[in-house]
Amino acid sequence: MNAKFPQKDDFLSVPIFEMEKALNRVHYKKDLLERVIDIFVKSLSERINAIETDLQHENWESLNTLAHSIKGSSWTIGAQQLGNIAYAMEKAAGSKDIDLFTHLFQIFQDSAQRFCEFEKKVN
Amino acid sequence: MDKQKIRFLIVEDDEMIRLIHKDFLNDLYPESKIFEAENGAQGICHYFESHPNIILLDMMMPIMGGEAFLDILEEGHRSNILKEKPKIIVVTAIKDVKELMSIGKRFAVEAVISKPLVQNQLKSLLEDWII
Amino acid sequence: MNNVLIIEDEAVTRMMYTGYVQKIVPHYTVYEAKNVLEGICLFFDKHPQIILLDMIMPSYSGKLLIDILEEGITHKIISYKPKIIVISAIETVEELTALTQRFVVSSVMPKPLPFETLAEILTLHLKL
Repeated sequence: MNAKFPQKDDFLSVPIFEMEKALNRVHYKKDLLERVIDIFVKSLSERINAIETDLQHENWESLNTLAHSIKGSSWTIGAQQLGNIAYAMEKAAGSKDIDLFTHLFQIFQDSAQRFCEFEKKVN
Repeated sequence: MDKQKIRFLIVEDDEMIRLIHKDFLNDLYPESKIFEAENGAQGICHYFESHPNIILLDMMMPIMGGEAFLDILEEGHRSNILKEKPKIIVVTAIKDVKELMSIGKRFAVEAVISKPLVQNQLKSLLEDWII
Repeated sequence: MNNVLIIEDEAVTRMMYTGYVQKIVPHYTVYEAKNVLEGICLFFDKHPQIILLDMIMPSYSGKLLIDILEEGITHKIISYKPKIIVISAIETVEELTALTQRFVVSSVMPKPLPFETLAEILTLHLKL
């Protein structure tokens, strides 16, 4: 593990999920938020699988697009931490840095796990 | 624009964002028709099939993006094949000011809004256009 | 609709195809587009049965039309399915294979296209 790479703790300062922000985005409609989060969680697991495949083949363009779109969705839903990690992944994919990307992807998956657990608790 | 006859088109690859926009537009204008496209290619098909009056257009999408969408409409208008002119609101995560400005000058683009879209911005635009 | 659409950026080639088509099917209306953007607009406006499509053009390639039609048909946004005849200077086997895998592409023909070949293709696809 490269000591210069960002570590998990570097991302923890930002909340896993900003409920207030998310509610604001859906105009405080709780059932809409539930539907939106359902879509997000489902797409998260699809995109994680896609990243695993692309990483094996070093499809940097696809990895870049995936990270970019995860970043966008995460920030939309108030999943700040995930969005920030995805942003770092996007940049790593841009510079085709496989070690950095793999490292960040690991952090991302942990974070995604925590997000889903958090969601289950909240709902 | 008569609110009974409004047709919206949402061109956005992110399913969550499409859902949020659609829900919002439905609340504001329950009698409107709302068409959805996952990318510019579907968007163009919907455009020519249903002639929406107002379009929410994302720029970055797989298969075909907003740039090509605008290029097609522009060409259609230029060669007189497209007779009506919709109102396009570009909603984008693009941050580069030069790019944003050049998008703002494109045919039929009335506004360029940064993601995430704040509902009130959209609402005030629509209220100006729709009676 | 008895329409044919020709999308080709080279004026001389375009005129030649128009002349050929008018000879083969004089009762059909021929529309011309000098770039794919115009071609797309004409497609939706005139609903041609057949599209002669060049692939290599400045700015956008013929692929844009193919992508749009496939998305539209797959997602049931458009119910109308034209026949696309690609007429292009294909260089590689990969290019050829990629094109023949597109479901809206009916035939792929090399450039330059002789009159007799075009007549055969049109007869076949228009069931003349």
